[in-house]
Amino acid sequence: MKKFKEILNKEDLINYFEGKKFDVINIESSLNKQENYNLEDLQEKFKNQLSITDKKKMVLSDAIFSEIIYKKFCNLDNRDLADTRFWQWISLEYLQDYIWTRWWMSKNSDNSKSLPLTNDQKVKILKSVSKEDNVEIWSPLTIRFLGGTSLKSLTSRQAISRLFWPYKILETTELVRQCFEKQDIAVAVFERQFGLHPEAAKAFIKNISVKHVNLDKKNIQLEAKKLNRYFATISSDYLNQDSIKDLLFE
Amino acid sequence: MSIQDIFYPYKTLENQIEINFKSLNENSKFNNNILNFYEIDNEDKVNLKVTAKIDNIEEVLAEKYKKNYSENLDLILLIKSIKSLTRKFFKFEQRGNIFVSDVSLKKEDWRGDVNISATLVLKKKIEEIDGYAFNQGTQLGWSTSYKILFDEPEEKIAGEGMEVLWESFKSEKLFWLQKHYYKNIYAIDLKSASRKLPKVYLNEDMDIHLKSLLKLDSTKSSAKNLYRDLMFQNIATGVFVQLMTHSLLDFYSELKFQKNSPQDKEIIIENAWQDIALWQRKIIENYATQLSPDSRKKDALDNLKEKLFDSDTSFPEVINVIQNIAQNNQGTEKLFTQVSQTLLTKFK
Repeated sequence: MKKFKEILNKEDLINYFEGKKFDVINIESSLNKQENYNLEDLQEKFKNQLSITDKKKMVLSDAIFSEIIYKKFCNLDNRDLADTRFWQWISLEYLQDYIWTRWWMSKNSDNSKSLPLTNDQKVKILKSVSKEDNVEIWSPLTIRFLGGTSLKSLTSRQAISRLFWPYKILETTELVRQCFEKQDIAVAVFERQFGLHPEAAKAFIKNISVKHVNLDKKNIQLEAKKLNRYFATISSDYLNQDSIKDLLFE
Repeated sequence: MSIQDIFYPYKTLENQIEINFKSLNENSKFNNNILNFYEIDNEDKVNLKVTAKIDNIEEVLAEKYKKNYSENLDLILLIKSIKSLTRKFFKFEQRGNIFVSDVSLKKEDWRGDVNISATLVLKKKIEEIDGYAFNQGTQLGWSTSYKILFDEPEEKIAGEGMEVLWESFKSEKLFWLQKHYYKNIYAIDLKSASRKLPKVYLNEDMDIHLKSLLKLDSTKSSAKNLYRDLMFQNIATGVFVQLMTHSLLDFYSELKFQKNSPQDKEIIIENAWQDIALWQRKIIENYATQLSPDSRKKDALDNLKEKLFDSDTSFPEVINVIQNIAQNNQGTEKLFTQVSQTLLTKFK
């Protein structure tokens, strides 16, 4: 399996769709760990799942895609799984259609008429120039392909790694389902440092719907902030789920 | 935010935890608290023996808990790496008044920088006594942080200085200058710098007299050196203004870009901040007090970030004073005065 030699930036993404080839290198996981990694097979699984998913409810399919992607890559070294270049490569070379469908087409029903997109269309969607002040406008879609450099880029923003990492941290299909069912929960947990601590992430997701049955966005954000504040003076790493639950209900 | 900036409403250790790292790998040693593991070939894990010592450990507990303090306190070794998306901790074992822990970190598990430090925590929830911690896991003392680099840092860290290179502005390398700007004296390459500190180029083809003046390395007080300093002052001001403007513009653009996301303000600000290059963060951070002059020193950076988030008019306001900040910081007034005095004396 491969990864890009360098992290791609926004301009590179445009160049990619304009046909530029970028250098790739092998990932570092041993070949044993890469056994049975047929990426065409992964592509096919995504395609099949996409074909049976209601495009108006794409958001609800995140948990299903999360399980597919996790089971495919869970044996790779953490070092590779935390490498933005790997996720960029997988996204652009194999899972582009999923990203366009999940993050562009599903946002507007008219968009589905344009699929499949030509590379020219893709470039125009990603980057436009404002007529008023001649300023470049980048689509938020760029983040879905590229991720970023911040903590949250792989756990919450890059379209494919954001499916993988929550599963790796939460470990069960049920928790992943709860996490993605209400996207505000996924954002609240995996855009904060405590999201990297499995016990804290699990405790939050298990208990937020108990404390706030309606799962209002405001309450989710408030509880996440509150927990984050506790972790300014309490070591989250030292606590188990029960102790974190106590903090949530304090 | 540093540990010292947080107000702890309970008793914490007076002194820092003393910590000592010994690498058991023959070729990998810490230098100034940093171990550059990426430089070492043929080793796939770092083995460390960590020892720690705490003075007056019982001081963090109320009187009734002091005697059997070890029942209520744990010393843990925290291992965090944002790039690896991983956090771990190990408990130290207490041997007399020394705490010991053996740690092994496999290269395959980590990416980028890994920060390691010791923290004293409360082992379990105890009775609430005024002025003392009582919640399980409460942090009561800290050591300095050590760093293991599993990958070469991607970005040059600010403070190392900018690279200044002599190059013909007609060369292919500086293709964007070839047509209209080949006679210029200096240029900055922001475009190809991306996340690395940009380079400054001086034109190899400039007038020979000017070139020899700029290449003077004497520090003596003379008219020649004064003119040289004046020229460098001019270049430095231009470079500073361009770097600062570019950094603020990138941060502001990221803020605007991410404002459409469903996250709350604090996360948008933090995401935008993390998404600009390290050198850009450093330059804004270093001049935050001047960019946000009405703030307290410790609040200046946060206030600046919020101001740029909250108001669309704040960006032009901030940009408007960059030229003045440059003058304040580069002794422009002093140098201009010296030069004018020299000129007036010479031509009187």
